[in-house]
Amino acid sequence: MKKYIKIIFVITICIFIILNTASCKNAHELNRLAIVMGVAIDKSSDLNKIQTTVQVAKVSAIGKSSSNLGLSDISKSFINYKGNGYTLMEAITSINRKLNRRLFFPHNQIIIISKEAAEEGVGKYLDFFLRNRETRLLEWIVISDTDASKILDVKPDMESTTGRSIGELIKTEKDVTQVPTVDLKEFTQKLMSKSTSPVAAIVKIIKEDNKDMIMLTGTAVFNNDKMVGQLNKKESRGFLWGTGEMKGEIILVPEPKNKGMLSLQITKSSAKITPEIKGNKIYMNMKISEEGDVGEQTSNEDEANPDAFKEIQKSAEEAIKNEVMDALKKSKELNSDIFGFSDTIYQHYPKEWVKLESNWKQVYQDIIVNITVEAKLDRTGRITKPAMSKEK
Amino acid sequence: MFKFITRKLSYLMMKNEYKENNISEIIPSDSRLSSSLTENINTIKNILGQSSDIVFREFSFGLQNQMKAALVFIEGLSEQSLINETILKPFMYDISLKNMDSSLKNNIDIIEKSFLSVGNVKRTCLINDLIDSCLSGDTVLMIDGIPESILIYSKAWEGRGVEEPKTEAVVRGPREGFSENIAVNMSLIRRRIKSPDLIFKTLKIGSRTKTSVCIVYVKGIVNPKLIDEIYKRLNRINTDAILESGYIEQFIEDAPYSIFPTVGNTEKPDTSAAKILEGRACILVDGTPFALTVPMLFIEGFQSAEDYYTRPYFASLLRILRFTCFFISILSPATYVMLATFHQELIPTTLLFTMAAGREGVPFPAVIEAGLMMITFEILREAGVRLPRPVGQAVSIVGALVIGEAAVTAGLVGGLLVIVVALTAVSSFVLPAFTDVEGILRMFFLILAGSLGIFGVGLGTLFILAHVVSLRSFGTPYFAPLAPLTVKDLKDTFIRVPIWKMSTRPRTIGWHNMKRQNDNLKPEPPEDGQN
Repeated sequence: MKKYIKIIFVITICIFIILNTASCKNAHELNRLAIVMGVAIDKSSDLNKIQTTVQVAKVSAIGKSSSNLGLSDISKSFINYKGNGYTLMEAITSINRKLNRRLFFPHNQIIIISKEAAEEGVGKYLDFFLRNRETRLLEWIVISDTDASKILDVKPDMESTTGRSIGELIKTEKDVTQVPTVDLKEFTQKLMSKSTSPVAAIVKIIKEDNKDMIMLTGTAVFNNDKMVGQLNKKESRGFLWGTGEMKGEIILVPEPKNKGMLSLQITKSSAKITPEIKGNKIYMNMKISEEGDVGEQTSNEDEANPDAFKEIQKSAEEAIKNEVMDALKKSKELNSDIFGFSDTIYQHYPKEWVKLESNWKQVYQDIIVNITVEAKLDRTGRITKPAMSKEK
Repeated sequence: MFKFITRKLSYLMMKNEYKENNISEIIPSDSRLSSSLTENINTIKNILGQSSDIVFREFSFGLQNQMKAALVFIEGLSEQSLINETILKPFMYDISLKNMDSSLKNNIDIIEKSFLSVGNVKRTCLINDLIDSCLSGDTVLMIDGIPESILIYSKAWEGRGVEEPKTEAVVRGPREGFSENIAVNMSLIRRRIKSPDLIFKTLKIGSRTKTSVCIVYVKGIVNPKLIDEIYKRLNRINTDAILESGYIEQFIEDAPYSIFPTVGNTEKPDTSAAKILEGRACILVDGTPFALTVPMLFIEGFQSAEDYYTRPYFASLLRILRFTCFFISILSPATYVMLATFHQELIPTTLLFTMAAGREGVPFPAVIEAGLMMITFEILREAGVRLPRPVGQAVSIVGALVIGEAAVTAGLVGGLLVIVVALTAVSSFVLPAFTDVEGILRMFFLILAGSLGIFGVGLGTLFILAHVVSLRSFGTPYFAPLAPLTVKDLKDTFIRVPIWKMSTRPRTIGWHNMKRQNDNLKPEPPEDGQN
């Protein structure tokens, strides 16, 4: 009996300790949470202040719309709250004064930073997202051309909240790469590295049939944490080639003999950058290999033969090289090392890097990049020669 | 105060009165029959005569009907036609009996050897023996002048026949189930194992019920120590009534305070035969169709007779499914509660919206919500089992409406929780052996999840695992062959390998005679050229 009393005593003490350290205190019922789907950061009209807009999903409307009303009732499915403060945290906590629920960040999809704010440096905004336990590192970072809060006001057509809509838009973009997609983790990694420049996608509101729509337009280039410029569509593609992230996109090449055009569907691509230091000069050997299929052909020439393939491959290589050169040129103009040359040099020549580091900006301008592209045409799709082709 | 004393006194007096009337305690255990028939009849009448179902049939036979005899039997327990045709008729009509002389001392020998055309006959001179067998359906023949009686086996009473078992239904496999009659049950096992090594050992347990309890095992396969242990535990039982095998189970189990059963039970003779052949012992109890099997392992709850009758692929799939169902059944309400109150970040965003929309406007916290639904389900289940069949349908309709439709429409519970509880309920029926364990564990984990979140559930899982691993059933580790890990026995746990691959018996149960069959039994078509 004495033994049992001792055991029961020990168990009771354990239960008390557990209940006091790790329990109900942290419990928050689902219907007491405001689920944040997107955060927009703007510069406030009051110069030193930050204006933040938080998009909260209105779950009751979403639940109903999915069961009874379809997606017609979408206007009510989210609410945007604005807050001001000298720090992001202050701005966000100021929202809690008008919101009767607790802001819940883990499901946040995007961080939108206005161009204005980004040009002054994003480090101070991202600190909150990196430090806070509830936020994830998988939030997408986008830069808005206009006020960031306006992006969150756009009513999405397919999804229930703008945040999720943009999140899905970027996820799709990952497969149909035209613009680099960057999440908080990747962005921070580049920010923390020696002198690689982070990039981020740029979103824009466009009008189509009198309706606001969100579109990814280009790439914002940073120097440290300050946005310094943009890459246009072609340069963005060049950047993606150089980092080996290109996939699912097409390359347009002129047909070798005829006036038509060929769209090549990219199936695989990879890039490898190896540095080489010879005397004073730094060479970067960028090797890009690409594999693709014929996706479309506008003329009626029969291209399904080795000679034509060679020609097409050559022009594809040319096109890729062109795009990469453009991106390189732009990056040198902005003096931001978007391809991560500095990191590769540091990995291959750690001793030399120490000397180069102090003078990196100048060194970067002088780097000579040798681009070799290896394009491969694999298949012609379901048909070999075009339907109109009369040749036998 | 005075009232209280008088009440106590009258109670004591009643107690004394009752003691005087307690028949079985007055007869000394070694009292013998006397040679006078009337005296014997009077003794028995004193003991049994108060009951109206006892029949005393006095008759006479022999030369000039000078020999007096009496039959004592119980109406309804003994076969009337057997008494009429094979006992009374020869005595009254058989010419050689008619001529029997009362002076012969070995008359009883002659009668037993030459005139009783009944298979099972015993002789006794003890009154206690006589009463016992009379009460269990034998017919007692007493002859005047001889201080001995013949017990004639005439047990025959109305009982349920061999029917399909209600608890362990199969699609493929024998439909026979045990019945309430222990003799029938023994024959059902004997019919499956026609080996001289199959041993039945019968005991009588219960001072009043005198229930037959039979240990069944195959000599040479079973561990003899197991049988000794069963004997020891059964002999310890000193109670007045054994009405069902559950009584025996609770008296002999290893871990009486554990929620996990350490004694298995089955209603199917083929299952018990298979278990006996694996080296287990089976305990049959008169009056119940549920046979006990020992030792019981945890994984036995996941095995079904049909696993061995169907082909191995689907059987293995079902095994894995059952393990999944076990976890669904004990953990899904806890998981729901833990996600809804502590770890919303673990839910995929789209699902979170659905869950949150369902929780919107629900007046209770998720733990209470889930607890209420589970209690509702348990009530419905219990009502469904107990109620007479025609009413049962009404209960199920009301239940379906109440928990399925109305509760959600009224906003008392979220729609997702109804799905969770329904899934839990259905999964809990997949494992009949663990249905009650699952019910308790589910509540246990629900409380942990509601108070401590995923940490609590992890803690609870560890606690339960440590407990299960510490259990033993008749010397066998309960969690074998997983802990201690016996690799060769894994052939029959998560997957069930083909029958021709199972060449050894489970090592953890009977280490005695391991080999079951040859190793080269894989069926192969004849090679080309031969045949």
